[in-house]
Amino acid sequence: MTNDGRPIDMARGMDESGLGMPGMTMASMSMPGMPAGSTKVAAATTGDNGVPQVAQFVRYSGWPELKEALMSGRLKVAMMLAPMVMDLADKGVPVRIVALGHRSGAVIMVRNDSKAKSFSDLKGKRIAIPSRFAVDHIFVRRLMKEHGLDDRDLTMVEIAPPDMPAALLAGAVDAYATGEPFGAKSEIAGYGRILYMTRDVWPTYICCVLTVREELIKSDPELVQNLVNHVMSSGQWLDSDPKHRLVAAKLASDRSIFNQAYELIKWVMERPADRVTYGDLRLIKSEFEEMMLLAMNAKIINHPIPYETYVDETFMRRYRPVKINVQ
Amino acid sequence: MRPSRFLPALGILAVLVALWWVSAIGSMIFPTPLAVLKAIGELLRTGTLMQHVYASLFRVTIGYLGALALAIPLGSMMGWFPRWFRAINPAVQMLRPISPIAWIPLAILWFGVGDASPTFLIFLATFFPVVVATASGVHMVEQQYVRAARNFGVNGFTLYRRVIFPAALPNIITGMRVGLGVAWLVVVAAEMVAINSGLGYLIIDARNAGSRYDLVVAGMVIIGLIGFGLDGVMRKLEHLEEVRWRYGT
Repeated sequence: MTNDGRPIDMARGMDESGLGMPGMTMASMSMPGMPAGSTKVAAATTGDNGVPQVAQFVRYSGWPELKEALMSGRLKVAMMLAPMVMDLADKGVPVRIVALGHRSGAVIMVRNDSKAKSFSDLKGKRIAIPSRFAVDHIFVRRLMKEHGLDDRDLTMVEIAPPDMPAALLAGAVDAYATGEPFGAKSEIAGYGRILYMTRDVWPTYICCVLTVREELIKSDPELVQNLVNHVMSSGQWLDSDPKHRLVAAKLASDRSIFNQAYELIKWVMERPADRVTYGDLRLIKSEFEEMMLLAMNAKIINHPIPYETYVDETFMRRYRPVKINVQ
Repeated sequence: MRPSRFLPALGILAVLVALWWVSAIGSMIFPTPLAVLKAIGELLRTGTLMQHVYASLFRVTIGYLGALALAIPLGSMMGWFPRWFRAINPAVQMLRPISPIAWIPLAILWFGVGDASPTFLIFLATFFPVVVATASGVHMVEQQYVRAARNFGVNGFTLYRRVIFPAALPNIITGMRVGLGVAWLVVVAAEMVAINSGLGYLIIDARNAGSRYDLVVAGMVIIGLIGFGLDGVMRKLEHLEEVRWRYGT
């Protein structure tokens, strides 16, 4: 429920989570784990248009907290970093990826007065990443490889995304890599500019993925199916009309959701419209395999993890579009 | 030392470890003592443990000594001159309860992302308890000592160095002991600021990793052990003759 007692319907919530703000501290939306009984209730209680209603969304202020809640089973569903889910599933935590959260949506920011025109100009500089285990780190590694930079050429420092704009302004780092909206923050404030967007160099970039605990898949596959239907439909809805993006930005800026300025999210949604995309949230094996190898290269995981260990394609295959009715 | 002196402490530790072991069985997040021992072994083998310990001790030492260097003179002035106390105490009391975590954005802005930021946070955390303890120690110095010294013509800085400071030293040492505890306590929070070493960093990094909670708890154990050692050193200071006079032994 939102603060004023209005139930949040899954579709709408997931539009917003589909924004997929992948920062450490803006983690993800997630559906709080409910005792088995109330999960049933949540599944059974559907709104007027068949939209499953859940008790509330919880915004975690950091990835570790979100991960721990998911590992302990207190949380049944989460928007989670893809490589982290791979690692958890490999270590025996019963979690599966059932859909993507968004594509693209990461940026590399430099100061307006920076002379850097290409990634190779960052040679010898300092770049901030959210953490070694973040997908943004993989993005940086990929650019390093493309531009022929090795570990000695770039100093990576780990800073929580909300602190990155200040670190850039203060000159503590020469660039930073993060998920939106923390790139747009320094852009709107007028001292930062984009050096790279995933949309230009890696449009199929995957960051946050819809992750479900296996016991929920077993106990309530209809709920999970309904969730996937709504998440994927919401993504298409978002990309089908620019006006929809503004509606979602308005909803997402709410204090109970992202608690970020509407103008900031609107900026991310519009400049340009494919800065973050949602239209194709299907799971594609080759993309995950590529991501897994890159994660291995970045030492996020230390051995190959088979796709089947961490993905459940069932729900995506049985996907039925639903009408997204949000004003 | 006679066994009867340390056996009870060992017994309590053993009970705690046993409870830990039982509650950790079958948990995805809480590692068993054995897993933690193995993690410490891994850190020792790769040589990273000492790197983290040195980095944290370095930051704590600099932050702590910096805090002492400023807090003891300032606290002394506040304790001795009521006008100083009235002027400065409100600011001290307002800044004192603010957690170092809240200072992180400002620390990055002012000190960047090197060693200076965490050192500054440790400095902040340590500074206030020492100021408060010093001020109250100096304030409570018995007037008869001061009067006696004045009768002998002792004044100014000599009076402070020879009479007031030694008389306030037991309080100051207590403040220093609390301060060191706090400095070590905030090391995890302070090392959230972008750096690539330190025991706090070890814990934060291990939490960010997929499932390395054995390293998280290993970091906690090491911090605990070093904290215990540091407190032992401070207690030794309390037994110095210059300090013990007050206890009448």
